[in-house]
Amino acid sequence: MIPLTVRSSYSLMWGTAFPTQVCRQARRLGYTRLALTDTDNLYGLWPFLTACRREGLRPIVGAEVTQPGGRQRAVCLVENDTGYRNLCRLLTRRHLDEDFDLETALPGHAAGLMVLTGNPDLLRTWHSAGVAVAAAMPRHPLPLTHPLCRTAKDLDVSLVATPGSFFLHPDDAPVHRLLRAIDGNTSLSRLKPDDVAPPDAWLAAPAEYTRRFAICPAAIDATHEIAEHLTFSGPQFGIVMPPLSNRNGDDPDRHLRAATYAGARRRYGEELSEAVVERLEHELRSIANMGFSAYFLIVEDIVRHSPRTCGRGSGAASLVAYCLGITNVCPLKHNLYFERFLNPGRTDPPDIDVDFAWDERDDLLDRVLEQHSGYAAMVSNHVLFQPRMAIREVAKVYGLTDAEIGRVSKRLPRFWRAKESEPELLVGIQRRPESRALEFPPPWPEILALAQRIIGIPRYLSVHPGGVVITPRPIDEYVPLERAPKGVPIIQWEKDATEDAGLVKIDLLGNRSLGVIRDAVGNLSANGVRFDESVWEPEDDLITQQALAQGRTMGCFYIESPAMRLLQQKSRVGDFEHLVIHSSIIRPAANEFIREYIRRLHGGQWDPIHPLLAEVLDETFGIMVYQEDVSRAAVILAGFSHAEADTLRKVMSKKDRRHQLRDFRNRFFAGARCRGVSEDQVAAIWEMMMSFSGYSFCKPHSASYARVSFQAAYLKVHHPAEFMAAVISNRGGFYGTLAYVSEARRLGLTVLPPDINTSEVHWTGRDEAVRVGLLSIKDLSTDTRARIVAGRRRQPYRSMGDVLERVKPAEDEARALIHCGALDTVNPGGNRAALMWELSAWLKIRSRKPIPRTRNLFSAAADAGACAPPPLPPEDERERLRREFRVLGFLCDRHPMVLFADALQHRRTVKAVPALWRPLFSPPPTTASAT
Amino acid sequence: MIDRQRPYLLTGKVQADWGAVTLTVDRVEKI
Repeated sequence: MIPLTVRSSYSLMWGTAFPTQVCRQARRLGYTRLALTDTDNLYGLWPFLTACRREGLRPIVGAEVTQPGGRQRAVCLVENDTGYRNLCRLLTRRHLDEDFDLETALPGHAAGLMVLTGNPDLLRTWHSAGVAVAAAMPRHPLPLTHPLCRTAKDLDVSLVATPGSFFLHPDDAPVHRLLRAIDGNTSLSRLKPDDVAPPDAWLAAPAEYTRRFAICPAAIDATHEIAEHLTFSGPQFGIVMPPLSNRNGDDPDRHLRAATYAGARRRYGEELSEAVVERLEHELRSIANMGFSAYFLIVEDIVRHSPRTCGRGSGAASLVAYCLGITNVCPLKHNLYFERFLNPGRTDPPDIDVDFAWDERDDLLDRVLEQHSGYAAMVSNHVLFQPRMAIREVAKVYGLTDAEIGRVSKRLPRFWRAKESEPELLVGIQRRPESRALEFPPPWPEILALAQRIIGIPRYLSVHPGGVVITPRPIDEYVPLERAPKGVPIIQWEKDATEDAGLVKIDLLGNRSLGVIRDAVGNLSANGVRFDESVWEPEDDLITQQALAQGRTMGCFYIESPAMRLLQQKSRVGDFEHLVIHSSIIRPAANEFIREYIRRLHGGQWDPIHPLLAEVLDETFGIMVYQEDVSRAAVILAGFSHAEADTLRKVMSKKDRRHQLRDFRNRFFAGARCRGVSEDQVAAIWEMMMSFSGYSFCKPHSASYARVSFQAAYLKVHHPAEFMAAVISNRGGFYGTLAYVSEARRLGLTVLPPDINTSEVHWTGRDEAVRVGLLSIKDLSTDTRARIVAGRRRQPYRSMGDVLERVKPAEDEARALIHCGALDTVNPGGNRAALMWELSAWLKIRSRKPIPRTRNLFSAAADAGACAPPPLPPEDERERLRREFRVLGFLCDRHPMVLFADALQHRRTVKAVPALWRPLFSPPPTTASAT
Repeated sequence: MIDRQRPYLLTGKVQADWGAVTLTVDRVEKI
């Protein structure tokens, strides 16, 4: 018996076991071959192929394709490469064609596929269309008089045993039922028989199937006969590079050379130095030899339309990428080795990732997907049940109310991942300080036990933050596509599977700080300050370096976290080279090494951890800082090849690293011992290497980021008003608006209140002041903000009535505008209560009678004005500030703590003032200048 | 702070490490 209809947990909300577990169980049961036929997808193809290799099984690739909204279905098993391409296309049509019809669609994509169906009509139709079909006898033998058996006999096609499985053991059935109830948003007791798989739909041993099909052993034999023809063992794409965009057969190597040299002259001037030419020739040769020229040109084409980008990843080590404008750090100036990016020993695809301003990224993606329509899609993200989601969903199935569920779930950390949870969920929750006091009366213990069993099961697909795949042939020949809810096409594989398949992914990611720099520079330009970015070298500016050395970097990209600012302060250095080190060493698992780095930086004695590593780690005081340090240590100390060392580096950043890492550890220890490294030394080095697991950067990446950090820091030091306005406007930084407003005040800036006649939608900065933008007024809709600004451009607002008539805000919007002070300049009396009176009168008049077309624009306001406010008591200042804070989230003219001065008077408090900071000296900026 | 948030008084040990000042909080009190 060979199981030909096996589902994993990638048959979303039906299957319970991950392909790895399916394969392990199949091997235990004594199978040597196995098909994976998840419903309407190939999500789990690569984990399945990997698991088959590990378990010594021969894989059969396939999928079950269903009729949307109907009961027709077919299991398609791949015989050869043609069949694989056809299956991908068929699944793509299943997901993308609104009028997909399985019966008519399948024959056109059936070449190279073996199709199993339990529907006698489909069997006959497809057989007559020339499709290779077999009659699928599900679960138990059918009587010979059954239409399926009779049709199979008529057509002389095989009758094959296909006892489909959805779980691995009989006791997994409750988990399956639970998933079905979650999927149907219902309770267990309301599940109908059709909603669930039969109770015996587990992967049984061959003997069990032989017993079940004892009366027709030919059906079991047929599984072997079919499997004989299925020689396809997985796609072998090699590395799939994006093609040259015009696909006209031009020589990409020649194009790349011309584009690179043109870019080099833009970067370095007409006369190129020998060092530049030598390096370019070396890189161009390597790129051409490895067949990556077209890939560079595609990426260049993508970034060409965006004036502000930040290359990330190892691609920043390439001078060619720098000359093409893909990256912005000169690899020669900053000593970045090209071999970190590309070398002949590397078997995996190169990695060029680019950041774009966060609010420009979606348009850019749309343009790329449109330009390469049919050949491009985004990478997907497989969203798995995490502890919070699992507990919430199971509790819903048990009929608990949102309030009852919230009592527990709100005390669980939002980003609590499956791997961090305890083997026993309840024990884990009770250990957490925030949930220790919670009680768990029945049915909670049962809920948590079941929730535990679904953690890690895939729930749905989402879109990877920025991964795009562009292929030389139509993309649906490589992988099935779907459409994400936001409308973009996505491939069915997540990023690791995409890489396993050899598809080269280009990451086009959103970066808020690029928006900050863009807006700050734009604000300067609007203020009449000339700022020439083409000659901007912020790294060389001494005053910026000094600010960095003191950790004065709130708002600055990548270096504004408390940990990073502390590191900067402790290091007391702010030059580019050190910032690159600091951006990379600041990892969660590296505290001990950071302390030691600081000690050594300040002149502390140290010896290399091993003489063989002395030179490699000299620049970082003997401490491993960059990803490549791990690879180099593995090569030098343990004799790994460059490719093996690179694999080790990659394994360390993977989620499921434990298994592979054990093997690497053994080889590392054995290799190091052979080179005479002592047991203590090798253990210490391995421990340092492990501090990189899960979170680490290569030097080119850190250098690329440090460049953006420097740009931000430069703007903060020299143009604080424009910079802080841009930071607050772009939002999404490390801190909230209140913290940035406080920082602006610490920088000596005046925070001007929002004003109906002055505020733009975004914050603006000029001289020593920032003006609050309309976007910071809570409750003010995007449309109303736009109406305010557009109306003012035609004519300034003259009165409250004028604002109400021309802007027509909703009541809550008008209240917010009044309370935050945005209408103070049209309120000559200065008492905001008078504005509230006017608003009430206006609302009352508006609700009472429609305004005739013939009456003039301000007639309602005139009516309102007629209801002049009575004498109003003076405003209570505290109440006014309280309302202002409620609308804005900060106060414009003071820090909210000022209001608590009395409460603090009698306490022995210490003010955390920046008294310990050294003053910045202020020589003129070195390059971009204010005029 | 005034409305949704509250001010708190933090008590703890102030330390200087290579010139960087940190507060290790051992008590948090509402003001």
